[in-house]
Amino acid sequence: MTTKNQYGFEQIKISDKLDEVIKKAIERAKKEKKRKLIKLTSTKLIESNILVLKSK
Amino acid sequence: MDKIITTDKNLNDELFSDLIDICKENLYKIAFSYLKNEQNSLDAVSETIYKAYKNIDKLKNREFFNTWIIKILINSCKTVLKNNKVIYIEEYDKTKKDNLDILETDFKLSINIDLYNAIDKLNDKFKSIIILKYLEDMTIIQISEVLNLPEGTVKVYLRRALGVLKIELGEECV
Repeated sequence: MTTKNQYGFEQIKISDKLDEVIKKAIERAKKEKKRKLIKLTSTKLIESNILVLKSK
Repeated sequence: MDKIITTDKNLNDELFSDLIDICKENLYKIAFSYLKNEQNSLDAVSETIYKAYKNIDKLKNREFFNTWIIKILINSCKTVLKNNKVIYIEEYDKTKKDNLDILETDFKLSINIDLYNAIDKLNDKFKSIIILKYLEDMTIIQISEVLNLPEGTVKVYLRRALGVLKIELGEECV
């Protein structure tokens, strides 16, 4: 991903905060994925319990 | 990067971080070219990585990770611009009839041209194309994949954008 011609884009300096921002974004996404998984699992568990109770 | 992508079918966290590590600086540069502001660019990159991590399973062919993440980034930049209520003049579209029969080599620019500052004069879609073409060195085909536009349309937009830049920078520069 290297650019031969710069056309002035070389003026862009990479922010010192970039790594920190990326780390936080990944952590936020991981948490969100985990939260969704827990929600899905617990919903399935509740549904299966209801079915068991109904069958009784 | 292709090696990393194809050798592991289950893109784990470590691999995702590696891929991001490879492209993070370019992602930031693209975002900054759009937004010209550190905080907004960081916001766009952050949102991009968040969305990419969450939706990585939806990426069918991991060879296209780079194209895919740039696509997400461009949409994130557009959202930031929308939230900041940046208004673009759409008059550039109303230019004379375009000839679709254009070669890739027709878009070579003078090396000394300052596109970085000039692209502020362009509207959203023209800006995207110029950034992908001259910052990322993407081909017309790659740009059409990222922006979901037909190749012919990309060529037309690119030509129109260069037309606008010609006026802004002076005929001799472009």
